[in-house]
Amino acid sequence: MPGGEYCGHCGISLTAGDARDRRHSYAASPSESVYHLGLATTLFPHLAKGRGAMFSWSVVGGVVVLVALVAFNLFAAAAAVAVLLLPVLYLMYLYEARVYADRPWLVLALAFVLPLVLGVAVSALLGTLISGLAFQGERSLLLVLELVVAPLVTLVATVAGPLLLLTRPTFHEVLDAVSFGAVSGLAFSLGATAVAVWPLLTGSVVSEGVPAQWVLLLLRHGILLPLLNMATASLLAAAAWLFGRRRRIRLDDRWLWSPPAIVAVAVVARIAAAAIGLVPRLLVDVLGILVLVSLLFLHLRLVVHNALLEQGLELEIGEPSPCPECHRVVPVMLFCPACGVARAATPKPAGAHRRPAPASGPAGSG
Amino acid sequence: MATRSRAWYPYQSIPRREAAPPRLGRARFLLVLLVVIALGAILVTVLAAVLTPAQPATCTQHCGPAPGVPVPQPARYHSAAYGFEVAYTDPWKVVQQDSKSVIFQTAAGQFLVYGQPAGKSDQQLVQEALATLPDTQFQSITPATSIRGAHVGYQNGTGEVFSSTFLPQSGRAIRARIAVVAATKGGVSVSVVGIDPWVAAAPNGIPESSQFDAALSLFQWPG
Repeated sequence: MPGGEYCGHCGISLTAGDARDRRHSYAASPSESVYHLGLATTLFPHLAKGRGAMFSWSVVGGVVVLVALVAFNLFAAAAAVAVLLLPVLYLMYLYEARVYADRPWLVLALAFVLPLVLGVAVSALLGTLISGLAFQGERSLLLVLELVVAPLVTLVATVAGPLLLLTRPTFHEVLDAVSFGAVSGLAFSLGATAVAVWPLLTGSVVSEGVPAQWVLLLLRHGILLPLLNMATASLLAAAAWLFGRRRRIRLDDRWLWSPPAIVAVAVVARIAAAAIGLVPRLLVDVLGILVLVSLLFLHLRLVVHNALLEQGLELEIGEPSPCPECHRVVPVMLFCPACGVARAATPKPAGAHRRPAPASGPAGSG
Repeated sequence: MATRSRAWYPYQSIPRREAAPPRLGRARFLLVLLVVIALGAILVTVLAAVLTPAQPATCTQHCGPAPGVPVPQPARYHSAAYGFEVAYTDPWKVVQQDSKSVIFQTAAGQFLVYGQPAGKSDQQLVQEALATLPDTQFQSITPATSIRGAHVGYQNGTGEVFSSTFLPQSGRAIRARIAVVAATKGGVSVSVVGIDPWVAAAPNGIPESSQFDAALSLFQWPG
């Protein structure tokens, strides 16, 4: 076994007091703790170290541009920036990290176009019904639609494409599931939000309105709700990936990231977000969803971290090659023995699968 | 358990660009991102401007309900706390009520009436009524026009029409018009809020303005 600070096979820390405890070192980005809410390493886990900053600064820059456009009452342009920013960035991420492997069109069709169309349909049908009832002060049916039907329909619509993709042997890594869930959630939001806000955009180029409320409105519909959909769809796709897999190494707190717990977290989070939308103040709504999204992404990091450690594959020690995370030339294994990054959380090589299909190992080995 | 420092494993370190060559360089990344976002923003702005439905001419005469329609016997809401009464007919129906206030579902929107002890100016009452609307649903409330001769049950008051956007979290946006009228008589102040989807051709953009006006005219103060 090649030497190093981490086991190249199972990824546990060889220097920590408790060998199984490496929560100080996130498997997709070992320089961060699992509980560190890094924007780039959470949203774009495949990116090599140093590449994520460009993506996360783009998110910040996009929000600044959105605010500037609203300040000049250019609401249509601001809305376009809000709804396009995250989906465009994520598509660029899929390209940069070759997450789609050798099936770019299939991934685009099932993880982007399908949820986009579903988002348009759900917003046009269910959204119109909900708005009509809410506008007329109807309460009982509205509560059922807002708190139960809309969240569940959204969850199903955002996870359908990723589940179809995960049936393909090409996509056997947990980060495939997470990435497809993320792009699906964003595409659904793009379609739904475009239809939802369109009636507000028609009119003169320079519109009237209260800029502060437009900023909050666009942050809610263009940034936070897409992030919420992204997180819940990623969690559900990860739960599907984990379902039925044997434990490969013994990890603590497994109940926290077992498939039933993950599904429960996603469903409760969606319903909680809908309930937050019923409070009368927009600022409270936006802050509430922000907190919810942060908690969801922390849970997603925990799931991804442990799933990467458990990703059961044949033990192979390949030829030395550069680690994209620490830039050291190390033998190719499931984990870099020098920095501990999961090789599954690095950009995929061109024209080849990263590894053979998974084989279920015996429980407790590692 | 093995405990090692990095010095034990001097894996050769190489420059970042060799270890992880980027597919999208910084310049290409920014160019693609900016071009796509800018094109999207321009396209949406142009489409929004071009696809705006033509504004029909504003109604100037015979804008009220068609004459000759038999008027059904109205039902009434009675405020136990302040004694005022609001008459209403189909298709209006009460969706929420208590001793001080009532909310009607109208054919296209809502009509809210609530009372309180006198003591505030009519203008304050109008602003207070607006503040009660949830801004998670009603955003960007801006004054559109004032209502001349605003009254509640033939008691003169203050009235104003506001434009607003209506967008609940899971819903689809509606452009709304909100008419707020407030008046005070004796020891009671009454605020009335009528909400309708904006229709350009309707008086003040409110398609049910004549029904709202009728309800205000039939309003009965206590005593």
